Amino acid sequence: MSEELIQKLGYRGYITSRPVRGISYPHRVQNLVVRDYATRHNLDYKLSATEYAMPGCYMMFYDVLTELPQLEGIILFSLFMLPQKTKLRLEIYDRILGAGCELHAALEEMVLQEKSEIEYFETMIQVVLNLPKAPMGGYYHKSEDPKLNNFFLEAMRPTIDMSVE
Amino acid sequence: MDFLEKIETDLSAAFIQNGYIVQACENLSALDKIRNKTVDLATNFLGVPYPTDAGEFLDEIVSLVPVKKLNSFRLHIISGLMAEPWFREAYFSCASSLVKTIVGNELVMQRNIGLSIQLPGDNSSLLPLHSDSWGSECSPFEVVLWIPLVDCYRTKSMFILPPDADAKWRERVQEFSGAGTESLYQAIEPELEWLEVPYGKVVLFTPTIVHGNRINQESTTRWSMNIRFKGLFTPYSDKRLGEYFAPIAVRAASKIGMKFTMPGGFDE
Repeated sequence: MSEELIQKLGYRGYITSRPVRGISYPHRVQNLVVRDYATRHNLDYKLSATEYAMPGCYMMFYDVLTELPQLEGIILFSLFMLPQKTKLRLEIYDRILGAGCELHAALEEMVLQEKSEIEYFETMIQVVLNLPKAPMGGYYHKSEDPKLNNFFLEAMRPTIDMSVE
Repeated sequence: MDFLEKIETDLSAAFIQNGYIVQACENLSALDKIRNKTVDLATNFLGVPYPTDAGEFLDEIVSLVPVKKLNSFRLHIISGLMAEPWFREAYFSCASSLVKTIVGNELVMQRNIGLSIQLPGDNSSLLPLHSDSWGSECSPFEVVLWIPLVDCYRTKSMFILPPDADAKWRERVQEFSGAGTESLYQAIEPELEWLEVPYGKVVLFTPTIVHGNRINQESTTRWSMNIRFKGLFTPYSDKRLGEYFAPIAVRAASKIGMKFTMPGGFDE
């Protein structure tokens, strides 16, 4: 049986329809970050897959993982789009590295190219997951009432149909 | 009850009292390596030979770099330094004991570099007075390690408003709301301290106090770098762990604690 040579080409972008670390980034902004990262690092960027909005859903990501034999790697918009469960993340790293691919995180400018780098990825994620248990919940609020800074939203309220779910 | 050693207690008290500490670089060979690499990058950009005196070359750079090329020159040096795998550890080593004394021994470090090049008489690279915590996404739990690559003094350096004066003027900032930062500067100017920092010394300061620079009225160019540090688990603002800060010291107990899971599966 002859071997079929599959040429691995490009890095699939991966963006999300859910907030990342509590911030909802427009898809357009996420794509700007991913494309700029790819350009600066001379990576052949392939059109981003966009994860669904449902919490805990990684269906689109697993679709991208099935593409790995044809890819050089994946460019996440952010490291913090990876699943919260450690076991799932470790399986993902193994699958990506096992396919001879790389995992890039554009916002954090991080790249996973070999097993020894998994610890750095994991340390970053674990510290962030534990920050809510740190003093002040790990975040310093600049205003006692966050709504005081949100006067544009408050000003818009009369024009927003609040009866629509 | 305080189990700190006397030197730590003294340094801490001085930092709280003055808002900063100036001390000798803890690893002068690392600082020399950083400066030499900076000169190497500068000479490559400018297409000139490597000089015999690195400090003098940097001091006199105004004769080689027009203001309109200054920013691209600065960015070239920043990206060249960040590309060196040894740079961040070398920078930290210039004041690692001091940073650990003031901040703690579980640390994060800013991932990029701040580099200031202030040519004599140039008003294009100014940083008006500010406290980082008033804006710029900074947490008040951060400190800045400021390291000059040349002798810095007077307007060739940076100014700070000492903590007592800073607290007093912070209550009055709103009086300048419609007038701008220049009028605030004029009001606080008599109480400012200009830091005298020769090459080979470093400054660690709290960016919560008002600081900044003015037009360099000296005859030589200021070159200084600044990188922030903070405690790993102290509150962040919008300069977040990940895209802005990276861990450089995580202790075993924290690693164990972060991974720990309680036994589960019990059914009440």
